[in-house]
Amino acid sequence: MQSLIRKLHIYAGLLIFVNLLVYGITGLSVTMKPAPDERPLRVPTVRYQAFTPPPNLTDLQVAEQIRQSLHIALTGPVHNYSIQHDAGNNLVVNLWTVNGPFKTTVLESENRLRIEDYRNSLWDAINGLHATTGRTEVPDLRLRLWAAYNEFALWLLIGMSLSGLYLWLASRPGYWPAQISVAVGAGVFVLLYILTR
Amino acid sequence: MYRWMRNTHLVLGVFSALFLLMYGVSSVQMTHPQWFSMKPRVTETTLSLAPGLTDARAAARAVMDRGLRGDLTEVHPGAGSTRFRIVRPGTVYTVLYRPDSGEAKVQTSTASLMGMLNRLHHVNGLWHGYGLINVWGAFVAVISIALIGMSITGIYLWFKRHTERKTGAILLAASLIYGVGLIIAIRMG
Repeated sequence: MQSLIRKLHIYAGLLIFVNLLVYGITGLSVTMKPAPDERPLRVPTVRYQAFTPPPNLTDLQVAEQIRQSLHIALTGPVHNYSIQHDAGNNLVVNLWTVNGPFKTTVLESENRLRIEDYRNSLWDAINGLHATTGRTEVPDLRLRLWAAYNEFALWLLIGMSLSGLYLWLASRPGYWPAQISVAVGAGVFVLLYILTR
Repeated sequence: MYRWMRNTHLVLGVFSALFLLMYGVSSVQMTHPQWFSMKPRVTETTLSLAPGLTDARAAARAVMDRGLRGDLTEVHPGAGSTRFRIVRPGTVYTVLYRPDSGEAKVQTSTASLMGMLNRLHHVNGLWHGYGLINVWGAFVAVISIALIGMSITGIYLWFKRHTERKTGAILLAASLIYGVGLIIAIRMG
C-alpha cells in the first residue's frame, strides 16, 4: 500500500510539475505587489481601427460585434459588466484576456474604434493562468487545454497533500523535525483561521 | 545529498499541508460553486457612537474601538450618512453611520467554512491596514517558496529512484511539453 501511494505521489508530482511552479510563482508575485494605490499606472498601446456599428443594435450586440471584428483570440463572450460609457457618452467595451485587458472605445462620429492594449506582465499572465479552470468561457483551444490541465492539477494537489501526509506517517512518524514542522504549520494555519474568522 | 533532499521535501511538505489543502479545496469550490453552499450568516446590530463624525475613517475607528476588526474598504460618504465596510477574511461589516444621531447600523456577514476558505485563497500582500491579513500574506510567500522547493526536491528524489525513472521521465516530459508549450502559445496571443 505504501509503495503504491508513493508511486502515485511521485507520478502525480511529475505530471503537474509545471502547475506547481505556476502556483508557487503566482503566490510570490502577488505578495511582492505594492498596495493597489501605489502600483504604477499602466500605459497602454493605442491603435485605431475603422468600425461602424450596424444600426439599431444594442450596446451588448455592438460589443459582441467589436469582439468578433478584432479577432482577439483569448477573449470570451461579452457581458453587461464589460460595457460602460465615457464622459462623452461613447460606448466603452472592456475585453479581458489572460494576457491583459483591451479597452475599446467606439468613436461613432469618426467611424472608428480606439483600442487600448494593456498587456499584462508575465507574472500577471501566470497569475491569470493559475486561476483558469473549466469555468472559463473562452473558446480558444489553447486556453481550454490549459484549463483542463489546471483543473486536473488542483485535484492532484489535494491528493498529493493527503498522500504526502500518509507517506510521512507510514514511513517516518518519529522524525522529530517533521513533527515540529507539522505542528507549527498546522498550528499557524488554525490560529490565523480563528483570529481572522 | 539524497537524505538532505528527502528531509527537506518532508519538512516543507508537512509544514505546508494544511495550507495546500486549503488552496486545493477552495479551488474546487471556485471551479464548481454549485457543489457548495456559500450562504453567509447575516446579523444586524446598532451601535451608539459620538455624533458629528464627518470623516469615514474617524467613524470606522470608533466602530473598530468596539471590537470590529479588519480593513476599512468601500467608503461612500453621502448626504446625512456615511457607508463603509470593515473586512477580514471571514467577516464583513457593512456600517451605515448617521452623524446627526451618532447611530451606526452594522450588518455583520460571517462566512461559512467554504466561504472562509474562498476568502483565504484570495488573501495576499503585505500592505493591509489590518495586521493579521499581512501575516496571512507573509505565509502565502512562505508556502509559495515551500511549494517551489518541494517541486525541485521532488524532481531530484524521483530521479534517484531507478525503478520510477523511465515512467517518470515520460510523465515529466509530457508535463513540460504540454504545460510550457501551452503557456508559450497563450502568451504569444
